[in-house]
Amino acid sequence: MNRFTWADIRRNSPIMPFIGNAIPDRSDPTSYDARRTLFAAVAGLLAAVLALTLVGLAHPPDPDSASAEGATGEQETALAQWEALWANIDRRGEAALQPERSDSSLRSAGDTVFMRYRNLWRDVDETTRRAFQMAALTNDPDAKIARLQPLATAGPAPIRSRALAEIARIRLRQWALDDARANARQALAIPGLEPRFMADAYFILGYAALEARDLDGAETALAEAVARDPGFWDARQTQLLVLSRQLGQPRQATAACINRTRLMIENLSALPTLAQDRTQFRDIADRFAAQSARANPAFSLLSGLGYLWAGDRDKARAALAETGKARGALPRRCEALLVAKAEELLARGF
Amino acid sequence: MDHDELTNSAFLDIATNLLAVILIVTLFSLVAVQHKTHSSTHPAAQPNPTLRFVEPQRDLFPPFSTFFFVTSDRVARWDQTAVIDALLANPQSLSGTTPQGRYEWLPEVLITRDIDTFQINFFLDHPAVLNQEPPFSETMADRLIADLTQTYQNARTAPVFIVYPSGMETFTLLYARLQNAGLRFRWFARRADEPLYLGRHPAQFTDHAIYW
Repeated sequence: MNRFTWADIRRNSPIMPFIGNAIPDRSDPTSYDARRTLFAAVAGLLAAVLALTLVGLAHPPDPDSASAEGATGEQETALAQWEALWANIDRRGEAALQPERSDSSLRSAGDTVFMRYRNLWRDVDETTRRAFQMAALTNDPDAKIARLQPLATAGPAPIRSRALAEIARIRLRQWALDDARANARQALAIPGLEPRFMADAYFILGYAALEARDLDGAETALAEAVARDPGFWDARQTQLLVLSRQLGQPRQATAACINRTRLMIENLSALPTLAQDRTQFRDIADRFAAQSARANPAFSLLSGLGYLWAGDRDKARAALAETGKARGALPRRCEALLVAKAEELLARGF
Repeated sequence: MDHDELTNSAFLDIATNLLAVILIVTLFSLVAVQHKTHSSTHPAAQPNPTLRFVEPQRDLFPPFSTFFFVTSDRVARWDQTAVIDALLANPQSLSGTTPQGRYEWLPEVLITRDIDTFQINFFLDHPAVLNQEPPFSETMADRLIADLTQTYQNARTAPVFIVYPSGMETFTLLYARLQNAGLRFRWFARRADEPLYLGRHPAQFTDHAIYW
């Protein structure tokens, strides 16, 4: 009777191929100690990597840290503008942020469709006016564009820009975003165009970018629109929407965070003036109060200011107190700045 | 005996007071129950959280419109091009007619807002439409809804129904079908002699007419 040992099986069995030694050969003490040391070192390294990863996850690096030197200048500018904003508010209240209205006839309603200015088109000749009116009365989009096209190619700059802006508006209504952008750019290329006409073209660019989910593009174009016409209600309202979405993004530079919050405060203050209705403060504050549930100190600060300027001090205090609780959504320095401002407002005991 | 009477009297006092307390408690309970069933705290009066009120927002770039008149078992598409052609043919004339009715081009307001500000009234000629259009049928409703769906997809043009009292019954059937098809549409009830008023003016953006 044959007797087999494990050594025989390991040596002879074709169905048990061993790759390396699964069990260390204890007959060689030097090899065993060396492996043990190696395993211990690898385990130590892995533990260190794990610890670093956990620390990194708990404290995400500031996006500015990678390009700290480049960002410093932008941060300083952003901080200076932030301080100037609050110095203005401290001196004159929220009225400091209301846009100057050189034209008393300015009205917000319908400004997207160029009704901002009274009698702007009073001196237009009858033939041109009738052509625009017939285009407005036409409901078929292609027929509308066919009526407007001749007006977009010849004539004075304001007429050409108005026709191009109207064609761009029709394209936006059709969801033809690229065509709308092309028409708006054509309008902007007209030499000697007044800033208030340019504002409409920039607004179309911003709106089209927003629809295309290009938030950076929308932010840039809407800033241009508001800069050229501070009384442009729809541009400001859309800018507020875009900025709030940008501030909700997970990663952004400190300077961008400060600038966006500042612009939102400016818009918050400007909108009720343009709408001639202070309930806008409360509406906007309510909206940001709902959003601050996502733990964003910028929204809590905005909400608090909205309630404060609407006269609801209890809600203002509650919203401002939330600012300190929300951490981690924005760059650390920006967050600290917003929390400090909220605490300063609370300490004043309004 | 006196002792027994005193005991009975005390017992009666306690019983009477207890009864009074029970009566008061019962009375308050009944009032409370009644209040509960008649106030908003009653479960039946609680709002359904799944139903949402959607605040209407002004659509900055709304769809285009195509108008329909609904009158006396007829659904007639407004021939808007006929009005525009008539206006272009007679630029000096402020009013005119088309096969569907009469239009009035309203004079310019003193303070203009935009280069294309205008106002127009269109008075439907009901007897003319009765002669021009066949009675609205189920087959026509199916065809109309298929056509409107395609038009919205291709040209983002949505229907607006101007419903006169005599057309309300016809529109009731059409309304359900439009809802079921998930079509975007608007409708306005008009008196028989009331015109369709169109225009471009600031009031459009300050009332609900702009909410598409």
